[in-house]
Amino acid sequence: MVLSGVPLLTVVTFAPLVGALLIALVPRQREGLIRWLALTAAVVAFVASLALLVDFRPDIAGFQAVEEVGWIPAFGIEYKLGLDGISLVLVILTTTLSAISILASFGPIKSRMKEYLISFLILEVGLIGVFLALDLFLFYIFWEIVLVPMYLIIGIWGGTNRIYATLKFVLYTLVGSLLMLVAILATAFSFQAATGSWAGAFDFEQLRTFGFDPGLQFLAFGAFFLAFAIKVPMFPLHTWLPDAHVEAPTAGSVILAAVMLKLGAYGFIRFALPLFPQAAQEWAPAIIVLSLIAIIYGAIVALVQPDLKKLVAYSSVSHMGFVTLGIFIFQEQGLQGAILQMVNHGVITGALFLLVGVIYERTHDRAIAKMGGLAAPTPVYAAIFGFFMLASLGLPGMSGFVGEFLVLLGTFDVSPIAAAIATFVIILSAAYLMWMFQRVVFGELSDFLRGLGHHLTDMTPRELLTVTPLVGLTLALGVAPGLVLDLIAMPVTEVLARVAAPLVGAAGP
Amino acid sequence: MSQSLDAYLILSGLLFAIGTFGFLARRNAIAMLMSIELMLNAVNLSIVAFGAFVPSLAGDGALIALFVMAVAAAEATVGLAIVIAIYRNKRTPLVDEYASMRE
Amino acid sequence: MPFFTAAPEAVPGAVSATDQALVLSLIVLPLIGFGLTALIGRRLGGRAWIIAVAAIVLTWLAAMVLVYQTLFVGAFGEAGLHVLVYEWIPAGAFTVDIAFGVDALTAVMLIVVATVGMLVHIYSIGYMAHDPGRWRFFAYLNLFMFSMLLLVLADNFLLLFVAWELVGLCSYLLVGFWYRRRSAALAAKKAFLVNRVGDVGFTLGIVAIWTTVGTLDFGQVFQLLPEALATGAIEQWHMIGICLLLFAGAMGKSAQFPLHVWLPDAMEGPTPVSALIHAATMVNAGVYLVARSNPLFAQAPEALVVVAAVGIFTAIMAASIAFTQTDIKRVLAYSTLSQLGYMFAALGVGAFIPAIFHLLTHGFFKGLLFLGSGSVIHAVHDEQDMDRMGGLRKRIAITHLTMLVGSLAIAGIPPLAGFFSKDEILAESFKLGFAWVWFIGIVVALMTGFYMFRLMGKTFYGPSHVDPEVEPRIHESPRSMTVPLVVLAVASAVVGLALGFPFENGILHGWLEPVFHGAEETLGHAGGDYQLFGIDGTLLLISTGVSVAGVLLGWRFFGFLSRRPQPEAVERLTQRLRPAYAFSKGKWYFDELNDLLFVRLGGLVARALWWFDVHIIDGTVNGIANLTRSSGGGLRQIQTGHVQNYALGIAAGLLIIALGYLVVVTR
Repeated sequence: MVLSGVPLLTVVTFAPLVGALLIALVPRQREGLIRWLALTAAVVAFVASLALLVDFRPDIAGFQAVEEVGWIPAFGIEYKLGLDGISLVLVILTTTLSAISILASFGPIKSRMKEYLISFLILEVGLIGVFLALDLFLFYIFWEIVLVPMYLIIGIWGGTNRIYATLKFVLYTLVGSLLMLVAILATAFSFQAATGSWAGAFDFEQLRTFGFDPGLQFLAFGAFFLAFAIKVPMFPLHTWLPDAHVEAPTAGSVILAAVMLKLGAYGFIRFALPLFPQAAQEWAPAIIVLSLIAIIYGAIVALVQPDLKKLVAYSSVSHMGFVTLGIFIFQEQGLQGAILQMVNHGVITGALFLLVGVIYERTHDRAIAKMGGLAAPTPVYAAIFGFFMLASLGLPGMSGFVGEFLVLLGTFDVSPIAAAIATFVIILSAAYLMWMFQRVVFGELSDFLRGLGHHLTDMTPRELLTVTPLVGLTLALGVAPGLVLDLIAMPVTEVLARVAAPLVGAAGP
Repeated sequence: MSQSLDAYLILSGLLFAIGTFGFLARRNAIAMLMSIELMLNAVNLSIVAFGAFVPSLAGDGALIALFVMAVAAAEATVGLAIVIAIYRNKRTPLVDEYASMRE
Repeated sequence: MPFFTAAPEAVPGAVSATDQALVLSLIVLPLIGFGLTALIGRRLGGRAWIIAVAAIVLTWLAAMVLVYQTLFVGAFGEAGLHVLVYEWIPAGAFTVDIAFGVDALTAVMLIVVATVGMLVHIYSIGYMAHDPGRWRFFAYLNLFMFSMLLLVLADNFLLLFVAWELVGLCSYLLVGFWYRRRSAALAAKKAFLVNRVGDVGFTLGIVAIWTTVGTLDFGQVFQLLPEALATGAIEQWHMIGICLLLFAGAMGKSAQFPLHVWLPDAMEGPTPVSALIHAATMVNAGVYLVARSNPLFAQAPEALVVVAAVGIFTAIMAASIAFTQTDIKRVLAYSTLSQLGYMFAALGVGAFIPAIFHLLTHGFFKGLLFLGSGSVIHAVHDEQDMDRMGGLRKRIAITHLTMLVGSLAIAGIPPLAGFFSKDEILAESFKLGFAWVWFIGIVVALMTGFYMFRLMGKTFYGPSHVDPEVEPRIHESPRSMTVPLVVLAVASAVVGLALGFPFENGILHGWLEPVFHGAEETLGHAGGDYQLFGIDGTLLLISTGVSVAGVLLGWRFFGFLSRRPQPEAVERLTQRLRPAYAFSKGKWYFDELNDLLFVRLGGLVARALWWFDVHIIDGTVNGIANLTRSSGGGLRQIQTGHVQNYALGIAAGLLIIALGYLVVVTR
């Protein structure tokens, strides 16, 4: 217990907020200082999140480093943060990619740097908070905090059609999350009615051992499902994603794909399954079918996308289908694979969006048809792009493979047919990625790119600095997936034990 | 002075109805303001009557009526000021022309 | 008795540090070579090959020590050498180690992989000397050697699959090496995608194995799966299913019908790549996989029949296409398909050792033929069309002589290498009761001799059709290219005699017997005595006879040594067999079929789904939004802006409330 006494979770969560407040005090002309402050805040959060590893014990069940302060005692609402392997992994993913995204924003963002960085840091607060909150009310607050800065980031610094995209994104996600709020309140009232006290009515640790009435479970799970499925996004609730990605600035896309999509999957694992285990089992077959559709459908639609960002967006739909498949198959390797796949997708897709951003910086275009032959003028870019293309299609030795394989393994254990369907995606993902790569990187230099002349430069040191950590992570997690798997083993068994043996009957303790 | 509360209340109700009708039917803003005054006075009348007949109020009704009159005076002042301001703008006291609340 | 008897956890203690280091060096050396060449190769300029070639020469030395230890000294016994590096995937009950195993089968594979690999590296020094991207080339080659060695050393299915994909990646990178050429980029992509089709099966096969026995370790799987079958824990169809799924992967990697379409296109890569990856090593991975899984396949004879049928069909189909191709490398590519078909046919009939024997000899003579064709292409300045060659015999004498040895070897002329291995395959299939395999095999043997000497005739003999501008500049290749040719020619000449004589009882049989003994026993293949003056002699005579006949036919039409080619006779023949000729020339129209099915039809489906996504799914979403907005717009009409309308509403509301109150009170 080296760091005992330090409220580390709060430090991690609110370090970016401190940065945002400091930036607010700096006059906007001093852009250098603003950038420096933002990056420092993000790096502090990153270092603090790594410090969480020091005292973390992967072999202990339940939550660690819990911080608990009363907030609205009348209703038993608390400020309560806690850590287990799953949240630890995702928090580190968030702080890593946030720091990288902030660094990646320095070039492309040309106006209102101050407001942009403040938004971005607040976004980070929300994201980390979601992964750490153990009080359902607090969780909901963080969940909605995420929405506001993202709304601004897409709506102000986005592309030409940004207003449409950002409104669609916000309204779509709000529909889901408001229903979730209703469900949260319903569970709290039900808990209060059963125990006669508001104490603990929003406390996840108390609620997760409480057997809710099956009817309530079914409805509340439905509400949670809607909120999470929209965020993941699952077929057929995915259409906000391509629009949001296309219009968002590069760093926005990176965070959106790498971290925000994980909120939904995390919600399933952390809240929906343990709170409503019976309903989860009732819903599971339908969700598995939707996941399979998403896997195949996303990949097929990605094949014919004319826009680089849209292609990656649809590939996200396909990849996240693996995550939901792994979650709802209720099998140890499947769930472990799903969580690993969340991390992998974050790293790899984040990197792909960074790389699309790099080419967009030079060409101000993302149309695949206009590209071609990038290998000759920009060899470093081509090599790194190729690396992540291969990682995304699940090449062994890189991180994407292990997660996908574990999900397939778990799925086959439960339903060989489902596994067979899902496996076909390894052809499709190779097809859309390699076809895209061939058209963008191979061949003779296209006329459009030739017209750019000396503007078509290879990656700058700053851009290299943003992707190199991701290259390292991809290789490290491919060669030693135990880094993540060892951390998540215990919470995975806990979740599955809860789903496998639900408390029968409506009465609580 | 009648010994029955009902008579006062019926009169008050009639006055209020006349005021309501005037407010809805007249198109002249000044006349509408006057109708409002009529309605307020109808209410005043019922309050004073209650004050006289309900023992527990013990004559406090008159005090309440005084407050209502003060509010009515203030309302009339502001209302007239607004009407005059709009009149200067629109050159008509007829409310049919005052549709800018629509947008 | 399965070949792996020792429990794997008992083994590591017995492994000496030297052996461990030796095995690891096989993996690490090429990896270091790759890393260094990729990082600083560009700065080395013309000497970009130095690190890569040095790494591979060292690897070869290590491999040969290991081979010597395994095969000649027998230092590791029947169980072989097992090295555990670390636990790769710890996912609850599912754990996979990075672990290597060296047994006789691996050692035989090492001979081919390390030797041909090294020779190709040396050859490439000369071949790629003028290519500005040579540092990239050597980096990829080293990466390939790493992957291929990983493949033969892997001690569990998942690690094998990793290597399987990595060699596929290297193939992708090297086929698409000249990425500016659209055809090269397309061929690279095609190769990878077609392989992935097979990988679907392979992946499912691996997953099925784990869900059945809970381990992927070779030794345990080969012990537990047959046991599960014996105890009735799984049914026969389960075993057949697993074997067929594994075979699906093998079909992709070893380019068996109908997944053969990628290999001819893969000839877009530089010729040393064709020799190394697409002839001698990577394409054999499928054969290796089936041979390695022999304890499983032995339990599923039905699956073996499928293997045999696919193999022998591929053999005759590819041979028929090789008849009419004019691109020198494509002829060799189809010939490779055909020979791989032989190997699978041998595996399918249960003749595991002849299959590996043929793999070994084929690795040498096909590597030789490809490198020779590279030398020819080099000589005539990047011309690959045989119609524009001819008469090169005297101009590039070393190339000609070595290729002649290779051609005779592949045709099966005694006493060269191909004769021994091919004869064994054919004889075994006949004796094991697969007369149809034997018969088709004999026909293929005849065809092989013919198309190989068609190739030789069109390239080396008769009048020259070389571009007159190039003609005076034809030259023999540099020493770095001819030396590997000579080495491979010598190997192609003697390796069969050295390892395969006496028939069916050569040294190789002694080496591999322990590996396949269990499977052969399960299949009931009791090895009878070799009867030179009985059935075996007759079969030997027949197969030799058809091989010679094939060569003579080729000689008859396309000339050989002093005989002039007969273009008129060829013309008459093609006229008479017009449809068959067109069918062969059109490669059985597989590319057109695939184009129709996957590119056009698949593209249509994808576009239709995209339309569905934009118009139906997103249309619904936007439809809901529009509905909300238009209903809001409708309700807005009520807001007239007239104070009195609002007041009327208030009054009406008041009235309704009052009336409602009255109703309630009077109730």
